[in-house]
Amino acid sequence: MKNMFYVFVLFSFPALSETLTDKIHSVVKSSPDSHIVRFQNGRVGFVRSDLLRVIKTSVGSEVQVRLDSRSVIRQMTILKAPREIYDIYLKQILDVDPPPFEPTMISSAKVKEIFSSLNPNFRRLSECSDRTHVWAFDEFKKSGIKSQKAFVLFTASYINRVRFKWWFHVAPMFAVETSGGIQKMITDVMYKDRPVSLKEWTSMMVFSERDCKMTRKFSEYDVNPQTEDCYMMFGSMYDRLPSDLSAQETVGIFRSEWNETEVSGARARAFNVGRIL
Amino acid sequence: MKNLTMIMILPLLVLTACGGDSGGSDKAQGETNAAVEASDGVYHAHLRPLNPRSNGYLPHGGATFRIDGDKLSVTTFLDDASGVIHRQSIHTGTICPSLSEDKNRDGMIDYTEALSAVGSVMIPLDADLSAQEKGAEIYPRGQSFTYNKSVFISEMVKNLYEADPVLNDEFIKFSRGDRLKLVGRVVLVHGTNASDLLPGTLGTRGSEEANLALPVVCGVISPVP
Repeated sequence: MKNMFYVFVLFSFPALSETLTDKIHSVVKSSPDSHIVRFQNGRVGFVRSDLLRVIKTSVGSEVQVRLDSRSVIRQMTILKAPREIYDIYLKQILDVDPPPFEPTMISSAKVKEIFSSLNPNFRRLSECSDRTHVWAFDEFKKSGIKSQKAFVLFTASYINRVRFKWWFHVAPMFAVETSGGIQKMITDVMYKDRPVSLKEWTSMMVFSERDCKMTRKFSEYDVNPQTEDCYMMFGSMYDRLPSDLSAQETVGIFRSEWNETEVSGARARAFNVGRIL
Repeated sequence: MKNLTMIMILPLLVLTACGGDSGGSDKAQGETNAAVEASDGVYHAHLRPLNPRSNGYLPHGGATFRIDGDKLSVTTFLDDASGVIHRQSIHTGTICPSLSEDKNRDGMIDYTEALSAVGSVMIPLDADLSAQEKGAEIYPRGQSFTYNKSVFISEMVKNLYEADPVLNDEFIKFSRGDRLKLVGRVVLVHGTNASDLLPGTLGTRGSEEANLALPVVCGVISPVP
């Protein structure tokens, strides 16, 4: 309770539409007079430049924000200060050396079978990172198949242009052996009714139909976000969030094993118990 | 009176499901379908996004149908970014539309294009499920809604066999031999915010605003094991 304090409230609310509680991942400029706040769960909020200073000092904090119907932040409350969060994050360090990670090669029939068996009983408004983490974990525990994660990262200019509501999306990705070579297939049960190619998956979100630029460095996306609509990064099945990808580069942390406490937390947040009711 | 109606209508449902003068295998299939549609159980459709570029959001929803004797309970939900009226219906078709239905190539599957894939409206999921005409087309509203309604299946089926009061609209009544058969049917939900992201080429439904007629999620009903 001692950490809870109001930062700002604007009183001319035009149709407040949503309350969001999450950590602030970062803040980026989207236009000359507007910035985008990127939340850890992937959502974005627009913020006016005159409010930027207070937002920037809150990066890493867990906050509660109220967004209007155009995703503009109208109210924010800091729930937990950044230092504390950073300490919690440091406790999750799993490895310091780049470990080898090779996804399991599977057949086209197998990826369809996997898709059909992935738990469809997710909660409303669950986070893609939580769903994907549980799906990847469950498949690995069941069959030993090592999957990857496909992270699509949207640039500030794209978000601003189409008023997209997220700055990243993630889904399980499997390496499928075909007659034409290895094809990466996405199993995003919430939004697609079958395994789809990377291009078909990103087309759902990238309305310009531009390809997402492949990168192995989160900083390439982070530093110069105006020239592309989106970037694509592949993580291992152990990576849950974009911060796991950036940590590889900034502090040399590569995840190489499951954190079952984290998986349990993701499961509790993202899935209902039992069958669909 | 309601119970009497049920007693009269339920055999009609079974007879209709098994009806026709087809051969033995068709008859067996008819009996299977009758069993499925009349069986107690839970049926569900994941409602996945159509036209996400309309408002920069990936909407998601679900439609659950629980049959318990003659009672059908329907629950739908939608999480979207559009606080508008969301018209929702069960259609006669068995597949959701894809971009191949985008005949005018404006990048969106509009109302008229979607209907070519999902077929006519069989059951509008509005304020009254007992008759196509009774619910006054009162649908859920909001960017995140939950809808709950129940109906006696016998009442609903009786209405579906009545004469169609308006021919050539998007609603359809049963012909002889048609069945309710929820499994495999399509649930379609419409409605997004008016936005300058929408092309001016969108087809619509009568005088309805094109953004309200635009399909936003779709799913095919399947049994829950």
